[in-house]
Amino acid sequence: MTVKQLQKAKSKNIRGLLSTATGCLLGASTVVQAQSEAGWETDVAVLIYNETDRVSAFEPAISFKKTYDDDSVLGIKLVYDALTGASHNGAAVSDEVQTFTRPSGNGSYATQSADVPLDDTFRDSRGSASMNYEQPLNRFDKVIYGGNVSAEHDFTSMSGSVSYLHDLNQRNTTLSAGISFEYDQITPEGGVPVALSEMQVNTNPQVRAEDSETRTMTELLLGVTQVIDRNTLVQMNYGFSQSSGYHSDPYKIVSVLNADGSLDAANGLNGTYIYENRPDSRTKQSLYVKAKRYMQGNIADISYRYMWDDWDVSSHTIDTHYRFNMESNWYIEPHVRYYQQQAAEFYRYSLSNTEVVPEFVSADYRLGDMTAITVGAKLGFKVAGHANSVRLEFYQQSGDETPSEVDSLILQYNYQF
Amino acid sequence: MKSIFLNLNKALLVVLLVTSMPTHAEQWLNKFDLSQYKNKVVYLDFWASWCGPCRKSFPWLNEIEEKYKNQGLVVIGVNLDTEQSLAKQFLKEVPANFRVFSDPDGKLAEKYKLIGMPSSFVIDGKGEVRHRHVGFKKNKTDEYEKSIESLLKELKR
Amino acid sequence: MKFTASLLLLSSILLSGCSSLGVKPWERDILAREDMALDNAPLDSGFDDHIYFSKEASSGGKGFGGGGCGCN
Repeated sequence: MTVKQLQKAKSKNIRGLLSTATGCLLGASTVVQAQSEAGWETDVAVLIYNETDRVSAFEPAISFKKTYDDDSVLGIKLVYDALTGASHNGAAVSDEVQTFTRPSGNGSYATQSADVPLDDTFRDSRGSASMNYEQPLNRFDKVIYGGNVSAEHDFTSMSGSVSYLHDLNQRNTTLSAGISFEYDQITPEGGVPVALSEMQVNTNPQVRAEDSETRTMTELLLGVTQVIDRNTLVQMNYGFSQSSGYHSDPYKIVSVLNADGSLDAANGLNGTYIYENRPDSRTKQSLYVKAKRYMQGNIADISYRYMWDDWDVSSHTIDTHYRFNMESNWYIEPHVRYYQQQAAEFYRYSLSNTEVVPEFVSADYRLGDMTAITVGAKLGFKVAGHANSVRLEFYQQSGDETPSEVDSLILQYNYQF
Repeated sequence: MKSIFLNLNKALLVVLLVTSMPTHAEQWLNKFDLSQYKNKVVYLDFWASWCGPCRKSFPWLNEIEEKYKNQGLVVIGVNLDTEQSLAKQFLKEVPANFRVFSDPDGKLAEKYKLIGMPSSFVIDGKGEVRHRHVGFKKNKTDEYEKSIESLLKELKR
Repeated sequence: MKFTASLLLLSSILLSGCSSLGVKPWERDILAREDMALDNAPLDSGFDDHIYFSKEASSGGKGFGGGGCGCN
């Protein structure tokens, strides 16, 4: 299927869904309560994500939820994602003009001196469908099944999960245990580059291996949710995940420079670039704590996550929301998120041609030292009984080198039928 | 398409029902005293405006009050909202044609040792609690009705 | 063996400690509020998880989301 066909099929799909949703609206607009009796709760949202000079994404999503008489709950969610723009190819910024071969092997692009090398051929659309089914077994136990499929032109992902929840202490404590399995397939544009091989000028053949690669991931999650008092709730999770297979980004390269930092012309290009190589397995662990508290009509929501892995990446995330509930059903909710990460052990901004090429190396800024801040707010209001909300946020990433400096804007609109 | 119309009809029906009903069908009790229901079967239902299954149980409670009141059934809904205004708002949306009593401090809830919401107690003609149900499930209403009928039969003896 | 024993001890202390916390079943008015749900805006958190997953080296830990892209 071409991208256009996919989009067409997708839009047909969405149109069908929207007509169902409109049906819900008609039923619901007369009596709000009738809609929840009738069954399906429908939510739609659109997200616009825009990085200065880099990637832009447009993402509509729709979700449906139905609670059955036996208290089981079915949820379905569809997301479409249209991406355009340019993305850092991994090469270091230089004071000379650089030329690169496109991933397809056909054509090239140039980066001016002092500019961040961006591959501007980046264009993709992604469709994803997920569902979950919650089945109570008795008053205290329930099982949740989840499934997800996501596809874009060079990447397919499938996952499934099962979680078991048990309530105790008069339902003030909930214990949960879940396991999930994910299978990914990567089919890069132009084939999978041979790890650590050098990029060739586009008139030469590129050094490519297979057409596609795969990766699997198993994840385990253990959790406790505890009611502290009438106004306070705390959740704690421990997560363990292990993945194996292809972890590299097939489009990312690493600059190999002369000892003085200048470009080393080779392979018909005015610099030397090798395709990155990441280990073929990764073990991640995480601790997550979240607290919610009702404070005189307003709600504070604070969470902290510590994550670490065997690539030596470790990170702290603090996420805080404070919802001010106003009269006549509207609210304003400021949001601040702070993220700080320590680089993977094989992260290198660039290599020198005087050193032996390491076994594993990546110049992907997302694996480097990083600090990121998100600041924004959400405004919620009701129109004719339907919840609406608008969210505007700024996300700023920064690190040791210029490719890590990314500013983006997040704008989202939600509507509940 | 058919289901959309069905839903629409359902919704309109709800509107008609809501608008044709007297606004204050429920009867608020000032005092909770079971001794005044000697020789009656009392269906005591603990509810609150924030409780989802309670909302679902009200049409059925109205139904049994109507169906069995001539045989000696009394339905009493004990409301556990801390503010009675919330209960009154709820009853505007979900009407109750049975007796209701406000227990904002949960004294009765404590006495009956509730373990979940809603909780129902079926009390016989002598004032003894004979059955209890926790939660409300539509597919279990036959079972609930049987427990009422068996106690109503005892009254006739 | 020692580890299992200490784990059991720890969890029983935790659980008995927790049992003194909490509310009665009829005191859940605030906890039942929509805005007090642990994930009260699932579409928002879904978008966020996807953004941060594709821009940072950490992901997950909150619950099971969908699989994402290996993309740029």
